Amino acid sequence: MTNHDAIYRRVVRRETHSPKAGLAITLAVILILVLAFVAIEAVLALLQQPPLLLAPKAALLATLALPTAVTTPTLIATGAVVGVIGLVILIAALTPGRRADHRGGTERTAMAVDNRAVASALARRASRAVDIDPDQVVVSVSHRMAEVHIQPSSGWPLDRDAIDEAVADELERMNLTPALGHRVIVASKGVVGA
Amino acid sequence: MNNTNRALNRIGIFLFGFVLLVLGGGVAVAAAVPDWLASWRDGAKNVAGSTTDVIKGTPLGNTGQSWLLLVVAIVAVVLIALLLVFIFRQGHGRSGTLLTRKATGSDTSAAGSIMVSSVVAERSIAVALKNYTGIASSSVSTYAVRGVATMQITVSARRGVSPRDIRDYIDQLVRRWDQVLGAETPVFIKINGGFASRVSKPNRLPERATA
Repeated sequence: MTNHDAIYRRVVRRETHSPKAGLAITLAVILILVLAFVAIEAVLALLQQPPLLLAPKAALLATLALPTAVTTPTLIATGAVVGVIGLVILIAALTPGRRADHRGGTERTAMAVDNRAVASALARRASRAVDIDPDQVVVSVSHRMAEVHIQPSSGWPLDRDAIDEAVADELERMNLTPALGHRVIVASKGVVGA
Repeated sequence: MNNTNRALNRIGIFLFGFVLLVLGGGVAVAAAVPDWLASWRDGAKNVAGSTTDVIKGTPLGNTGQSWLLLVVAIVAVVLIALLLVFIFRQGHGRSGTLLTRKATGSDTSAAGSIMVSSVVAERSIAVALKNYTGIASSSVSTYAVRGVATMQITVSARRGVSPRDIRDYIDQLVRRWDQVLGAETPVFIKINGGFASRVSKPNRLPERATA
């Protein structure tokens, strides 16, 4: 049997984390627009044509006049806003950008599964286990926990253990990493006529 | 699966954020401290004064303009070109070939070289995936991951279908494909539960549907 472990590790890691391509492209486009403006103004000034918005020399002098021309509070506020935007972008560059996914065990193939698909499967198993309508079960899956919210049918007893068992069994079958704990929450009000 | 240079993306985003943070933070702090603000004003005045000299000192022919403008325009255009390359470099990495066997001196099992196109595998598996009721939609593509052709099978699960069942079905397909191909290429399965699965009709067949 061929061993693809190294490739699987790389692929699964890449597929469960964002490439940050969207943000990178957005910032690159902004930069391109700014540079295009600078280039156009420079060429217009060279050809001694009227500027689109601001000639390069005027822009340079205006920038240098900033500390005298603008009031101090405005300077501080503007600087702070720009700084915070920079910080947010900086954080986006450094955070892992984990997607809402879980990894399956590596067998012949490697697998990643969307949290919504996991939730949907758990909801189905829970509703089958106690024979209630699938619409009465809502499951939310986070990184380490699956929460099963159930609205019982009014007047019918609900076998909580059966749900618990079914969900645990399904989670074991899926064999996800990181492993999901689970919690069954039964609503105090039942659904009438279900 | 594609070979987007993620490190480069992060470095680019980091630099952008870093420059904004330093500029914005610098302006805010310098304006907040009275002594610094005073020296900033003096410094700016000096630079503004010498700007005219610099422009006069760098004439472009007898146009009355500085050749610095030309330098600025050229630098801007070069940077724009680099950024465009950066943008269009995102994605990519598809592989058209799944397997290549070259007839070498010691390997006499084949008379010549064999090349299997990725499309062969992609189509065979895509057709088989359509036959499985638990899958609402699917796509199969091949990427070169560190030079090894790796298949990616992306499926949207129908509402309520266990990812385990889908995976078992696909694993079995892949094993059958291995036998046809005579080699095991890496396969990555991605199971989604997004829009396609929410609008799809729930599967009414028994849970562990057989292939």
